[in-house]
Amino acid sequence: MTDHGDNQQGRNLTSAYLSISGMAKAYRGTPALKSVDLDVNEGEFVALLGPSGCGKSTLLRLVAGLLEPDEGTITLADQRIGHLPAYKRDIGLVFQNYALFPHMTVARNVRFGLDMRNMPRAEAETRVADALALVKLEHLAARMPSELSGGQQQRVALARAIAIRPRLLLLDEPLSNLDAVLRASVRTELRELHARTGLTIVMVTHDQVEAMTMADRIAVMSDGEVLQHDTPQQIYEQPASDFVAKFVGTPPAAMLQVDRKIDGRFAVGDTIWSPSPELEAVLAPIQRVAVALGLRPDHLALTSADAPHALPATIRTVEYLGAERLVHVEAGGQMLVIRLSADEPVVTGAVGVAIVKSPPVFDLTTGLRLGRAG
Amino acid sequence: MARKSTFLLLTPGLFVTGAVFLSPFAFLALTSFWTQRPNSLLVDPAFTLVNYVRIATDMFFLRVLFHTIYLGVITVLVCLVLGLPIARWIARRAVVSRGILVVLIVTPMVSGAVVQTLGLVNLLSLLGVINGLLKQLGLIDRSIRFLGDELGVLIGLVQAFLPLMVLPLLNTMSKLPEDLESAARSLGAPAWRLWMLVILPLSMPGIIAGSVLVFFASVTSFVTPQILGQGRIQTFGTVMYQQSALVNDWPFASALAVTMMVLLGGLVLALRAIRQRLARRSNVAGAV
Amino acid sequence: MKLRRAAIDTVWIAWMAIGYIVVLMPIVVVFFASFSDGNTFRFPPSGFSLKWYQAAFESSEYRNALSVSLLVGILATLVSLTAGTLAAYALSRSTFRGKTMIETLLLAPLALPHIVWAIGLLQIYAWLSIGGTLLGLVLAHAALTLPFAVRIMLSTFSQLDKTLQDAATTLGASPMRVVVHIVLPLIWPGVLTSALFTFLTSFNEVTVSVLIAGSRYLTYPVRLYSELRSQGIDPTTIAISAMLVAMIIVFALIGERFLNWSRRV
Repeated sequence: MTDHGDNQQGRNLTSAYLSISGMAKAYRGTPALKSVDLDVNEGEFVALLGPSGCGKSTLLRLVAGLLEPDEGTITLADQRIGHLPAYKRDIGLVFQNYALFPHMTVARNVRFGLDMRNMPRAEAETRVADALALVKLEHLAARMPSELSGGQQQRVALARAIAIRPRLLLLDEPLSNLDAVLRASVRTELRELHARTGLTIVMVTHDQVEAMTMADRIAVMSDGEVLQHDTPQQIYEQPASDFVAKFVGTPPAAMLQVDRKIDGRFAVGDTIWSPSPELEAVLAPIQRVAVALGLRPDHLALTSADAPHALPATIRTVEYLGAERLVHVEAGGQMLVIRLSADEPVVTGAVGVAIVKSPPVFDLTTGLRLGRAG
Repeated sequence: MARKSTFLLLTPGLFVTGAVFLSPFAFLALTSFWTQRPNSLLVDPAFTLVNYVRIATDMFFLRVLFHTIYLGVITVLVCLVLGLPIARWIARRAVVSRGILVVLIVTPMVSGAVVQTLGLVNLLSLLGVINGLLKQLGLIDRSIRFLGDELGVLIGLVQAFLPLMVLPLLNTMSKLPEDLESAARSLGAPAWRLWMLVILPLSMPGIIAGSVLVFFASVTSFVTPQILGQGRIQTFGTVMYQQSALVNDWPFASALAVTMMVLLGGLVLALRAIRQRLARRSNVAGAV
Repeated sequence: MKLRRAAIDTVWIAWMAIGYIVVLMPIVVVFFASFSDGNTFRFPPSGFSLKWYQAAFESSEYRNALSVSLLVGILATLVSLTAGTLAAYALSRSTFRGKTMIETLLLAPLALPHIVWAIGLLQIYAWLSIGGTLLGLVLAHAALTLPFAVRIMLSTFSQLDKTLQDAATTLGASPMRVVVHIVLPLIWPGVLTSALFTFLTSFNEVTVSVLIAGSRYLTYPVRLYSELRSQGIDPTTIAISAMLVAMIIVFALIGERFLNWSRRV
């Protein structure tokens, strides 16, 4: 049911570096996670993406060992770690609020994990210096956390987690407490850090832009389940369900309900519509009375109302975004968004919408992808 | 946290509160229905209402009860009259002196009840500071008797419990929005109307809280009336003490204690009902 | 207008002064009286002397009472601080049904009248025959002071970020080391505040102790109380009390300055 996009699943469970299977957790009878499977390869940067309350943070805490699962196993580097207490897992975690120890200097914070491993002082000092150098904060080693800016605190938290040479680095909403300007730069810094250290990273985020730009693969979660685990491109172009299509992308995909009449013709709202032959080829084998098309702006083009295969539509609003414009149109009582470059003229009055690229097709009730091409 | 460890951590605290603090109340309720055998230290554990009948019918205890409540009410009133200006000044005018004024008012609370009483005895005795001062000034030739007199006990109660009035008052009065007063003043309200229409009504929560605290403390107090009253002023506290420590009629002392608990509990419930009604009314007013 | 304002202020301050005089006079008088040279206190004092202070340091009787108070205070503080800290930790770090009820229960001794309690306790102690024992006194004082410890520690723990403990755990600190390296260093101001507060409350306690203290474990306030009740005032106790109050005020000022007491309690 889950992980349509994960081809490696089921072939060899132990080949993955981090392997989570059948993980379930309920809080006072309310399930937060319902049997989640997830594989992460060594050196991979995976984002757990989903709205708040989808269970992504619960999953992260389960992996870190801060929560105990009701069911399921976790394997890290071919070792079962489910029974290990959090402090024996060697998993670094960067908290959303950074959780720097307020009574220790930056250097002592970073050294904390090494002290807990009873590392000789000289060696620990070298490691601390290395970790601080990695996040470019050598000059602030003697400061107290309260004397640092939010961005600096976050980097200390990162250095502290990296200093223990974790087998796995977990990031809990790493960018959410930063302002917009910092966020963009930290995004690239984290990518660089990943490239330089080769660490396996699992990041929790609710921001799809963050997930798309940073992660090698994204696990989209909703309601305690992983809906799709795939590369950002696959997630964007081949969403496994309408939820994924609507959650990922700016603007999100619009769902267009298409009904099939008894005579085999298609209708959008009250309008009879004949799709292009390519689209018809996709729709034809699907035996449903009605389906939903997940239409992104790049699936659509604005045409004249009488163009062949075009949907008659009315322009509602135009959003000006500098290099491009987003045209919101209504077709058959449903809203669609079309992207126009700045120099394309906007036709007014009655227009047509052409579907220029085959969109994903979803089941209206389950939201699952139908008739996948390829 | 695991349920088991939560329970484990709570155990010592619950033991101390439950076994040491709460069980005596249950014990009181039980023994108040027993009787003390005459000329014996033994207790007769047969259910009887005789203790309560005695409290309700013996004029001595009724008078003591009435007198205790009377002292409590007067103490509350005096504390209000003295406390309101102090709280108002600290809340509005004192900037630099705020800390020191608060510390000074709570000093008696942390320095111990008996030491205060010791000082009061020195102040109020026939050869004490007040009488000495009044004589020096030529205002009196014979000492005023404070100790063993109601006046002395009242002074002692006010001295001990004024801080209990000032703190809740200060708490509410510091939170009164200053704009409200400026608004009232700009509408031409003179100072006394400002007090009657704005400051006092809005300080009501503090006034009620402070009054309840002071009233409870003074009707249950025992050291102050015992020492400053010198055995001549009887309150519920001193009578309970005498019955249990001197007369050794523990079941009767229990009945007195239960009576006091019931009266105070009733007062709390009545106040809660009043507060709820007031809250409802102000909600309705707010809605209109 | 300005003159009227000044006049109102003067009256106001004079009115306030009455309140402050009533509240503070007893302590002030104790201080002055402690330097008197007469055998009984009288006003105006006939002369200045330190002989009562000298007597205070020489009197073994009072030293005894003070050491009982000190012992009871320390033991009661240990009990109520330990129980209070553990309970506050459990309350602030977990959710369960009946949590509010348990919190109310633990704080109940703040609201219930002590004299009523003492009369019940006296009877239970007699029944268990621990009246007049050290154990009885310490338990009573611990029960009385527990709510202070619970309340101060609850507010202390509510200010302690739970993720700090999680962070330490993921960095490899065992539960014991989390407590030693993270929790204790961050809560010690609260612990110290509640220890001092608990100790002071126990040290000054008189209502309950008068009823349950036997002749062997007579605390200083109980001694002073019985002196006031019967024999009349020994100026030595005035000197001792003056020193105690001075110490308490110094403690309070230190606590306010370094631990922000007025914001914690």
